Order: sequence, then C-alpha cells, then structure tokens
Amino acid sequence: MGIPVPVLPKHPGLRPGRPETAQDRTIRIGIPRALFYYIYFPFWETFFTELGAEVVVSDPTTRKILEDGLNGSSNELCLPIKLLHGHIVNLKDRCDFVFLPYIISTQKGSYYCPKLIAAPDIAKAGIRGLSLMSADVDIENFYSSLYSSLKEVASKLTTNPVRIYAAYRKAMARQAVFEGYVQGGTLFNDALSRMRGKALAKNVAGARPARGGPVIAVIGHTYLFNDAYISFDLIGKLRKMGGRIVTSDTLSAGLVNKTLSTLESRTHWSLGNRVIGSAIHYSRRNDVDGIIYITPFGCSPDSLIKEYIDANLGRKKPMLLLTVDEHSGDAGVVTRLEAFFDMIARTAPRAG
Amino acid sequence: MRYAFYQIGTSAIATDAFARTIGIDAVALPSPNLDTISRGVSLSPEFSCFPFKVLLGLLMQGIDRGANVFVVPVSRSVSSCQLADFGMAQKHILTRTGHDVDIILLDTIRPDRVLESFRKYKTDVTLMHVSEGLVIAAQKLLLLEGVEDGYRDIYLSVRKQKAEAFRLRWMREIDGTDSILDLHALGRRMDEDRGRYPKADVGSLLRIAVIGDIYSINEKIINNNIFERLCDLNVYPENGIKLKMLFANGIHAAPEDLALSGKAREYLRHNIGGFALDTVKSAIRFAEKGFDGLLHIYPFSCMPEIVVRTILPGLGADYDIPILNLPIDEQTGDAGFTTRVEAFVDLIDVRRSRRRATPNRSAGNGKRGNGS
Repeated sequence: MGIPVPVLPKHPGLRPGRPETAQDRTIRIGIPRALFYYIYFPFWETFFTELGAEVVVSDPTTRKILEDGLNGSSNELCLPIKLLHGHIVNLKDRCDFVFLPYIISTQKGSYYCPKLIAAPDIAKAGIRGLSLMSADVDIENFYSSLYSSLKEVASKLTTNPVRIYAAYRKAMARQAVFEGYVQGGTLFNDALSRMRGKALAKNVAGARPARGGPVIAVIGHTYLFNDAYISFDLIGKLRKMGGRIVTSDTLSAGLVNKTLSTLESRTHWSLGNRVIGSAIHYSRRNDVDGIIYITPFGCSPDSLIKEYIDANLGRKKPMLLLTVDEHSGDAGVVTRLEAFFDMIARTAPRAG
Repeated sequence: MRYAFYQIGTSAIATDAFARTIGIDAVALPSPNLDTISRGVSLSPEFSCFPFKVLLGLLMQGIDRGANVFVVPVSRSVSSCQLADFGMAQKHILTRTGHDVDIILLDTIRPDRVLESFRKYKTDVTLMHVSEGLVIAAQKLLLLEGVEDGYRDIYLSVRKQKAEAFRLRWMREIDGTDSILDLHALGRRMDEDRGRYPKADVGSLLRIAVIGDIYSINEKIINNNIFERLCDLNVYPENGIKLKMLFANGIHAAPEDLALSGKAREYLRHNIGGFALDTVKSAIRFAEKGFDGLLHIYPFSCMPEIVVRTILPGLGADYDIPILNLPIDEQTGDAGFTTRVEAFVDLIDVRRSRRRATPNRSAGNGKRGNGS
C-alpha cells in the first residue's frame, strides 16, 4: 500500500548515485486533464520538463472517458471526481507515473474540498496498483513546504538539488505568467496557447470589451466550465450566441480578496471564496449583464456558497444556476441559455 | 439575549451545563421530529447535507421558543468540513426569511476564542468560567457515553425496561450535577450501578461497529434508532464515532491511536476534514478487534464520508470485514433502511457460522485476511 514504488529495472536512470546519461529513456509523467490541471498545469509541466521528464496529458474529455469514469467510481462522488477517474484510465498505460498531488491549502486559512484533497486516495481506491506520484501542498501546515514536497517528487528524476531548485524557480515564473494571462481576462485554453506562442482566435473575449453583445460572467469551478465536454461547451455556446465572457478566473486575486473583505464572513474553501468574491464583484459592476453559475450535481460546498452569494448580491441582474451531471442533455442547456439571453435583453436595455 | 446550542443526540445535557457555568440563558430545543425536518428541508439548499437541514429546522424551532443567538460547537482549527460554514449559511437563510439572529462559533479546543465570541454579548464572562464550562461539558459527554454503553449492555442482558430506567436515572443525575468533583464521584457511582446487572454475553453475539458521520450516528431520530434496532436483532453494537470526539477530534495522544493513524493513512493520507480520518481509524480498530461487520452511516452529499465510502471497500477486503454503506437523507424510508440492516445481519451471521465450522479460517482475527 502507500504510494507504489517504481519497478527499478525498468528505469535504470532512477538508481540514486548513478550518473545520468543520454541513453536513459526519459520518464513519462502523466497529468490527467481534470481538477487541478486547470489551475496549476503550467507549473507542473515546466517543473517536470525542466527535470528531463516527458509530460503526457490525457485527451480532452470524450464520451468514452466519461463512461470509464462513471463505471469505475462510486456513484455518490461528484461529476468532476468521476471524470478524473476516466482521465486516469485514459492516461495510465501511456506513462510511467500518473502525477496527482494532494493539494490541501494554497492560501492561509482556506482549504480545498475534502474530495479534491483526497483525490489521490480516491484514485488509488478505484484503480489498485496504480503508479501514482504525489506531492503534499499544504501552506496551512507549518512543517511542510512546497519546496520540500517537490524535492520528494523530484527524487524520482534527479538527486541534484541545484537542478531541482532551478526547475522550481522556473516553474514558479511560468505559473506567474500563466496566472497573469488568466487574471488579465484570457480564458484557460487561450492562455495555454498564448504561453506556447500560438496566435489567438479572433473571438476571444476581453475582460472589458468596448461594444457588442451582452457581457456574461461565468461563475463556478474552473475545472467545470473549462472542460468543454461536461460543461456542454458553455463558453463556446455563449460566444456563438454573441456573448462576451468573463469568468470567475479572469479576476485578480487582489480584487477577489477586496470584494470578500467587504462581506461579513467568507467560507474556508479556496475555490468557494473565489466563486463568492467574483460573483459579488460582477454583480456590483455595471458593465456585466448577467451571471451564469455552473455547478456539478450534488456539490455540497456550492450549495452553501449559493446562500452566501444570494445574501450579498450587489445589483439585481439575471442569474442562471446551471446544474450539470452526466445525465444532463445538450438541448436542455441550449434552451436555458436562450431563455437567459432573452431575459437579459428584456431586463437590461443597454445604454451604449 | 437567549441562546440556543446546536444539538446532537443528548449533547444538550453538556451544552446546558456550559451555559449555566458561564451564566447565559439557553433555550431547550426539542429532539428533531418530522416537523423539524420538513421545516429545515423547505428552506435549505437542495445539496446541503442532511444534518444541515435538520439543524436548520431545529434553529427555527429555537426561534419559536425565543432564541436569537445560536452557538455552533465546532473546532474550526481542526475540522474543515461544511460544519464550519453551517452557521453563516444558516444565518443568511434565516435573515432572508425575516428572522434577526446571530451565530457564535464555539471552538471547543480554544477557550480563548470561545471567550472572545461570547464577550460580544456578555461582557462579564471570564476565561475561568469558559474553561470550567468546557471541562464540565467534556466530562458530561464522557459520562453520557457510559450511560449509553450501560443502556446497551442492560438491554442485551436483562431487558428493555430495566435499561430505560437505568438511562433515565443517570441522565437526570448527570444533568443535575454541575461541579467537576461531584461529576467525578457520580461517574464512580454509575459504574457501580452498572456492575450490578449481569454482563452481556459478548462471545455469542454478533458484533457490529457503527461508523460514519458524527451527527447521523448520534442522533437517534435520524438513524432510525440504529443501536436499539441492532440490539433487537441480537447484535452487540458499538459506536465508532462518539460524541466526545467533538472535543477530542484532532488530539490523538494515545499510543494505540498513533499506530492506528499510521495504518489509516495508508488509505487516507490527510485529515480531509469532518470525521473522515476518525471513521477510517475506527474501521481499522474494530476490524482488528475482530468485529463481525461495519455499518457505515452518513448523510447524502457529506463530502468527507463519501471519500471514506470510496475507500472502505478496499479496506474491507484488506482487513476481511464486511461493510454496509447506508447513506441517509430526508427521503430515507424506515422500511428500506431496516430491511437492509436485517439482510446485512443475516449475511454476517451465516458468514460467522461458516467460519466457525472451519476453524483454520477464524473470522476477523485482526490480521490481513485473504482479501489482499
């Protein structure tokens, strides 16, 4: 039990003390396209690439991946966790290790949801004998630091502390660039393309567009609305219908905290605080016409977060609560979005 | 200001004593009934967990009785489940429906923080009062645990009426005693009284440990009175998550406990909040003690327990112990619940007699069995 130990003969380069040579096959590390992928992917990608590993990402969600996820996990788990299972199944035969960190807290005083923290434990329970690679990220815990847990992870790739530290610094820098893009108003997938130097599609919504269709704020967990399959391509649909999009990610941490500090209290969920802060911030702004809150079925933090939002909304504006699960249908989502656009057109005739 | 405390099972005896010690006026809440549940459910968000809904119903009944400040006994520093957010969310809901109420978080392992929260309304409370109150409350929870154990033993060995009489008598005595020393003496007298009844024949009975979420296990109305049901089925039930853990959660001093933590962390590496790690530890503890089965009771949409529920099948295979998962919510029917428990008891009864027939495979000897 515990974290499975790698089979040494398969990776001769892993043996400590042995000098690294060019002949050694590069180690493949798999990162599932789910949950924290949407928050910390640039960091992990840079970190592992810098240490000489090859990073493999699971395919974008498909019907098959979702079905694998549904079949392999307990039916009471929420959709994003079931999906994680599907992505691991998609990935596990293509890499030496699946990388899945225990991310407990990344800010003082707030935590991730228990299911997200225990995601590696759930994965291990679902797929016995999975080669899992893990790190503890727990800022709340005085005795653990990000660097020390990274050292543990990196020990499978190199024993040279200088290289680990250099990779760590570079990864931090890349992550900062990525967060700069996202919080400056670029959506997740566009931010990734931008980091790779690709040209952007023309219809990218800026945070404060000058004119055009209604500005829609998409609020919710980043791993839900950025996954085109399980969110029924919410963002693509909104763009097609002429909406310009801001999301709960495209807001700087400072602005979220400033909004939260005007409230009576905050929750102790990291993601929840961002949802509350951004929802209330957008509700107070005049240039946002409507808010769509997308939540997975059975998400217990979201149900209480909705109460916090309702209690603190700034101005009355159309708000759509979109609950999705594996049984939702595309047509249902389209109908609700159309009705939502009609409501925006009726309630808020725009001056400009 | 009239206060009302969150109530889990018999916890009112402890919280009332705390209120008396620091000199505040606590409103007695009823034990939850159908009215509580329907009122709570009508106002709660759909996916909030069942305890949230029941407690909201209780708070509304508290408002009827004149309470306007609610005290939530939760140690925010050690437990990161929804419980820490219950208070504020319930306040928002109650404010929205036109009730002017306030919420106080009672951090059970930090008397200084408790003092801080009570100073808001009552300035003459001292740290001495609060500490004494917390000690007395903890003491009463420990004694109540003894009462429940005694009730179970007498129920199994003599009969129900005697057990009821025992429970009624000692609950009343515990409720009426408000000094640390007297409570100490009371504990000894209670043990003597318990010793006068014949012991339950544990060897011949099936043993089942009930584990899971603290609220669902300790609130009889919510769990269909599971402990009594099990006694009626000739099963020796053990409570895996006791009320005293509201105080001791996060403090693991006993060496036996440390060893358990190590084993539990093979399945659940971190304390993910709520009583998840305690549930895993209890599961291992009772499996090693040779219990015949585990009953995992938890509310639908309880995050920590759903993680545990995902982990338990593998644990059950490793430790060779059958586990029944019973999620409960406002839709849970009495008959369906009972049928499943009865079927489970029948199954483990057959399993045990088969194993007794073939002695080389003794049931649940605490070692990793043929599952791993």
